[in-house]
Amino acid sequence: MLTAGYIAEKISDFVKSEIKVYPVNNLRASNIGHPCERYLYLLIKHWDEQQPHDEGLQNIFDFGNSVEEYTIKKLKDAGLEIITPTQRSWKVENPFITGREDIRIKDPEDGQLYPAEIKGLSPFEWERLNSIEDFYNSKRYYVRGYPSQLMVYCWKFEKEKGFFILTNKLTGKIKIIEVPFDWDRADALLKKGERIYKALADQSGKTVPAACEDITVCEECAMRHLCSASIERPEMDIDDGELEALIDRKGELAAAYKEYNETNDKIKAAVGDRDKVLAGKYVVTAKNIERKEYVVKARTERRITVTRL
Amino acid sequence: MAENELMTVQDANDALIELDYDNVLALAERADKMVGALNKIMQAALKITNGKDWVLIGGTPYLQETGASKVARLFGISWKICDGYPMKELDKDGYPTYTYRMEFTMHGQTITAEGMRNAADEFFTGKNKKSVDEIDLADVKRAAYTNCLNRGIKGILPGLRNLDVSDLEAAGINIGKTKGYTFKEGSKGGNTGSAEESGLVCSNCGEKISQKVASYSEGKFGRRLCMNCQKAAAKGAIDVTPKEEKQPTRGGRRAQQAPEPEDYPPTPDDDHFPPADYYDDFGGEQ
Repeated sequence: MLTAGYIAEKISDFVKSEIKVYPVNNLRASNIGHPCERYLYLLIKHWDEQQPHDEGLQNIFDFGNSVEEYTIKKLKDAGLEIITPTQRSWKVENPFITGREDIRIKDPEDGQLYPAEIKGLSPFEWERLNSIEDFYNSKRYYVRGYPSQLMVYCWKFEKEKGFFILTNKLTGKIKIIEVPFDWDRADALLKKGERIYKALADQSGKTVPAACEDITVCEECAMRHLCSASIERPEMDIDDGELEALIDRKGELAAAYKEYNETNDKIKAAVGDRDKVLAGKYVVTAKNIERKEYVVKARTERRITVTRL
Repeated sequence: MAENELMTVQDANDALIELDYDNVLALAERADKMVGALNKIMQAALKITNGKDWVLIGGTPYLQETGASKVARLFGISWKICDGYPMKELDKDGYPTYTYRMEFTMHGQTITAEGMRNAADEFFTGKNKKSVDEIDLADVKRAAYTNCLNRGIKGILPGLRNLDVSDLEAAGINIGKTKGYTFKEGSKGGNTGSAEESGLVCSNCGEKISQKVASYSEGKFGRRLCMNCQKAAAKGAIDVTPKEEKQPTRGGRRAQQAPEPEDYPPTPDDDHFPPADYYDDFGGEQ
């Protein structure tokens, strides 16, 4: 009998059947931006032992492919001349990196083809990314790694720029980020590749690239069961004093504090330009005070964030 | 007793022990703080986990890798795979056993935990006993890693052990989302799936019940009851074996609970080997 459960199970079974672990014999433009050199090293050395990604991620990959098709169609419909190099990948030597850009867009003036990478993003991520710096400053390590793809493409094709075509996965809206080729960053990527290949060439296995220090990367790492790096976390102290009670009290006062400030603002507004006002049992006086400008000296501030479990 | 006076106590073997009175008080105070800390750890851990992070085996909740990772993140537990590990040993039939040894550190305290899995386990070979060539050995290795990780995290945070269903429910965890398994007497693990296939019945009315329902009932009522009988038992209409009362202790009720058996989590070599689905929730062991 056809039930919702039956349909969901069929879909789930199909998605799971799509999850595959492929050999990784070299660095790729799509992963050279990964923050952990140890991961990239282990991925090539022990690709067959990596933990397969889960059903959720497979769904994201599949949906990403659909978004890519949608985006390319939109660009073509808009009259842009697009080349989709779907058949053949390319390589760069020293260090050996393979890749295949999503599309190349032709400049209508001089006919030059510029590499472009299409990314389907969540609405929140899409809103956040408006310049190349936003990519580099992203909290998500994989977003920080995106520009590396374009750096490799620009290096390969000797282009001074590339493009990110960002599609909002909720609204379908597309925005374009122009990415100038950054020689320093490209050079750093190439040197990173050289270090990884040097380590792989050491048959003794004693040369192992450094692991990254970002614990969020380690927690999701498909090679974590093979990595000898320490997982170091800041330790948590258990307070046996009055901290919890103080936080509770602050929470209780929050509404009153807000109302206090709002009322203060209303008082200021009510007084307006008047210098002296009688208000029932109060006399309110107001005067203008000139504040001198000053420069806040650089200092280290301690920010305290309270999160409810 | 005067300050700093020595008091004499007698231990179980009638041997006399001399204790400094201040030291005893300090010890008691420290024990109180320790119990308080353990309770706080348990409460915090329960709050950050959800029903899917636990599994009920024979009515007892066990934290799975997803939950253990959340807890490790919260409390800042660090770890490292010890040099020389993972180790691989082959049995006479060529099936490898992978062993991990890892060091876990929190607040300057370091413990070592081991985890191992054998490719010859029925979980990997299936009932038809796959040959070693047919088994994905990377799965076995990752399973050993996960096993070690679980043991280590729970080893360094003892407040996470010896919980029961009511503890989880009291913390607002939705037990309905928790997988549950139990065991048919005399068998090596029950079947998973529906009530029809489980081979388990309500001990009150005889209705067939699923693994999940049976396991929950064991944890809650000490008996395997169907959902209707559980409702009746909750209203007192069915006589259920009262669960062993937890002994009140100084500073908290966790202090005198028995330590978790060393063989946790159960392995296929145990009499009560859980069904394959049990391991589905241990990351990387699908």
